[in-house]
Amino acid sequence: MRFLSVLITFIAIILSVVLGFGMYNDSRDIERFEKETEVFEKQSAIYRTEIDGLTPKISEASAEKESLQAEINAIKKRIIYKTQPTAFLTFDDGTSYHTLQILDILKENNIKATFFVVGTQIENGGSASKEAIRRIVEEGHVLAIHAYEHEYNKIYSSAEAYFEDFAKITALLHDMTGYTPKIVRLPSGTYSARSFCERYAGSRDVYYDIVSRLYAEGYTVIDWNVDTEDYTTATGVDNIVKNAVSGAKERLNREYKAAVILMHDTADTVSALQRVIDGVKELNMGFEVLVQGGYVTRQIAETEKP
Amino acid sequence: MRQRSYVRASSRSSSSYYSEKERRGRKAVNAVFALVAVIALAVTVFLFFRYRDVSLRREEAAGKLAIAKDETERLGEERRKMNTDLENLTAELDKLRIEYDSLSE
Repeated sequence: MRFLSVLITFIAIILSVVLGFGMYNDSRDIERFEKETEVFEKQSAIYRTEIDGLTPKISEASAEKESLQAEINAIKKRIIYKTQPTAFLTFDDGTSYHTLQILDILKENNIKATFFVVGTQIENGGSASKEAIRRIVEEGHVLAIHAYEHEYNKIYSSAEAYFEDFAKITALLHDMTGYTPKIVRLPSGTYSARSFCERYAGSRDVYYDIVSRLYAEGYTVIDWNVDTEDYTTATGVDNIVKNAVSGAKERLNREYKAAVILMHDTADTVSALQRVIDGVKELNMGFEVLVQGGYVTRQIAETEKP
Repeated sequence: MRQRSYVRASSRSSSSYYSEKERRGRKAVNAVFALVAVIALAVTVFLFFRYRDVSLRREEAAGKLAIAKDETERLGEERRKMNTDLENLTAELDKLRIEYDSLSE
């Protein structure tokens, strides 16, 4: 009995010593691990602070790089337009069945154009209008913003009214295409828009408020410098062709040989388009789409009040 | 009675016969030994559970350390990459500014 007790006690003491030693070691490890963890956490906090400081600097530098690159591209384009005559075919007030015909002609000639579309026209034009929007995007043309409602008395009654209409057209185009176009043409153009603002809003300042805000939000407002006058059937197909070609020819005498040709979504335009293209080609002009910063004309909207 | 006690005492050498007093003493000593053994066992069991707790805490601390180390390494790498990006962007911006100035003239 005593021997058994002594044996058990002995074994217990040995085990206790082993366990005690193990505990001592583990406790020291715990202390060491906690100290190291604290050091790593402090280092992580320092890194986080540095990363927080670096993030805005990188965003700022990226934005500056992007903007500078765009300006450089624009300058390069302008330089090109000094020697390389270029025509920009632009079509306002679509889309409709006529747009599909315009797209067919452009496709046959392998030419890309810019379409300033109207929201009510798209929504009320049935499947042809929606099909035209899809084709404009798919076939590599530029989709651009004109207005949701082409009603001067409504959209130029105040800056708020304009942007209410603007929000509707951007939302519609975003829903249909997944992106928001960044090129804008004011209904009737910037020159007339000033008069409409004075008439319907009581001040030309409203026009400057509209244009300044558009630029501040990253949009580019572009007019035209060749008017085909195809907005009325009174002009007729022959005169549309004549206006387009002679207007483009006149631009060849300018420092920047860029012709932004204004056309509309009409049956006469469809009839005249092939002849317009042939006439412009005879002037040795190339065709391009409007892009932000890539276009030079005095017709770009003035953002500053005179 | 005295007679029997004597007999028992006289036959001690040939058998494990002890006096009552000795027997009680031996019992007491045995009990003490047993008690010590029980206490030693109890202490061992207690220490075993303590050891298990400490081991678990050690594992937990080691896990936290590994996470903190990984996070620090990740953040360090991210910081290094961001510094490189910023340096590259700054260099690109310098080049673009020079190009812009030359084109603007």
